[in-house]
Amino acid sequence: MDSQVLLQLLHLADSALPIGGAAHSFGLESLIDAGLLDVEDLEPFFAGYLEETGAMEASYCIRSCELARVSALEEWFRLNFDLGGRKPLREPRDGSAAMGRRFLQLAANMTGSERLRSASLASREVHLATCFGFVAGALGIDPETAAAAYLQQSITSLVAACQRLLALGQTQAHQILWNLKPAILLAAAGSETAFMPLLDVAAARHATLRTRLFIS
Amino acid sequence: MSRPAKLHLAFEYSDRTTLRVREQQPPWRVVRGFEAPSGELLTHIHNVSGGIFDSDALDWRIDVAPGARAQVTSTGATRVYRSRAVDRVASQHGCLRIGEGGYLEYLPDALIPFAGSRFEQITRIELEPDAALIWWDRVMPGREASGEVFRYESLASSFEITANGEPAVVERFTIEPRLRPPDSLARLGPFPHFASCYVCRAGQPAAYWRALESELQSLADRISDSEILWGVTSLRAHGLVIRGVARSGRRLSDGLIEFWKAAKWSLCGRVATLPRKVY
Repeated sequence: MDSQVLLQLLHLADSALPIGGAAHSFGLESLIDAGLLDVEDLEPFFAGYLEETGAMEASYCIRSCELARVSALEEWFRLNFDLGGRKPLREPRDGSAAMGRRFLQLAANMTGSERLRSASLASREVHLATCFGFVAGALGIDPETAAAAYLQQSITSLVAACQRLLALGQTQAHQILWNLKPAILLAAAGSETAFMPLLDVAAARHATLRTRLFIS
Repeated sequence: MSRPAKLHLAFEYSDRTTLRVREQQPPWRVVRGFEAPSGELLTHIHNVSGGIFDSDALDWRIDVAPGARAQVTSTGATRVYRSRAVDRVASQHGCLRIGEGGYLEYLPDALIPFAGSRFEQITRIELEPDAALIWWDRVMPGREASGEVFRYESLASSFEITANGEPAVVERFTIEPRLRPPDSLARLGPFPHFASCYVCRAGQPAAYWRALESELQSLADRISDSEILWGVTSLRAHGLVIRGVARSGRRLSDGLIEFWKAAKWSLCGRVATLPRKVY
């Protein structure tokens, strides 16, 4: 990977990218509210998250990256629609779609890519994992690197959500993120399956929380 | 791989729903349909071998004709027996089609994967316009009374509902307790039992599902506590899903019945009648 592309990937994988990541906890808020997740649980929890939802989303990121390389836009939209079907939970599905749209628009504007602009202007269902892969593919980044970067961004946003919900300091948060690197690389190989019923239930219950910091 | 054992049920409709057993091969066995007070034709599916063996390849199909109403249940828990080798994976493939304006409720007993078992199930459900479905499934961690909790080798599921030709939900999971502990907080945490209940009607508008989601979530809040948690969420279109996790299977079963009653009343305006067997 040349230095310019490396810098572009670092930029896109920054969890501070203004795509709405700070507004979503994807079920973590209600899991914590129910007293089921605490600071000492976070590292094994996120390792498990990466093995399940993380690896499943990585497989969509990888395929999107491959489709961008051959400019298969219609096939990519179908892949997004498939991923939407894999997300039965309303709030996380809507969050993923909203963040995907913003990511794609931002990337299209920043890069000036006509391919990304066409994708962002179509009124079709898109998701963050697929958009990340598609943008990375358009920039010539290889699929597994793209998936690893996507997971790094995703987990960093979730750990940041935990910093707002738990007594989790910067140093400890970054130690957790550092320790999760091997799990990110394993998950970046992708998987067709995901099994996270407890987080599903928590995400489904999120809308009924008395007070909420996050949209999901 | 053994030859698949087939079951094919067709619920037909003229002035009332009738059952035609088009094909049944051992271990499948269906005796007859009973008219339920709520208007469905109740059918019990038996597995006369008592459970699923590692050489079993079970293949089942249900067609519900336009306008027909069916209630399908099992006669007891589905037990999945120990697998003798890595390549001995029991399988069950289901294909269900509900015609225009048809209705199916599928209310089986729990799935119990025994220690050492390997099982995969694939289920595809197609809903034509205005077809409706209530489907639940419940999975136990094993034979708890014998001290078997998550001692099976693998349990894989692929489940899809398509409505009006478009996928409403696709769920695929694989549980391999030796490789990825199910009691991780990322999976089930302290709740070894889990269940899902899908409530669908093809073409029903999103506003209806949001309203029903809100109504059922109120029920979920009432029956959730430190032993059991329920959540309700709208699918992308055509339905919603209720998820539950619990420390005890009994509580999960009782909760599913409560959701079924409420959802059926909203979906069909009919009172839910428990199948004729002991719950």
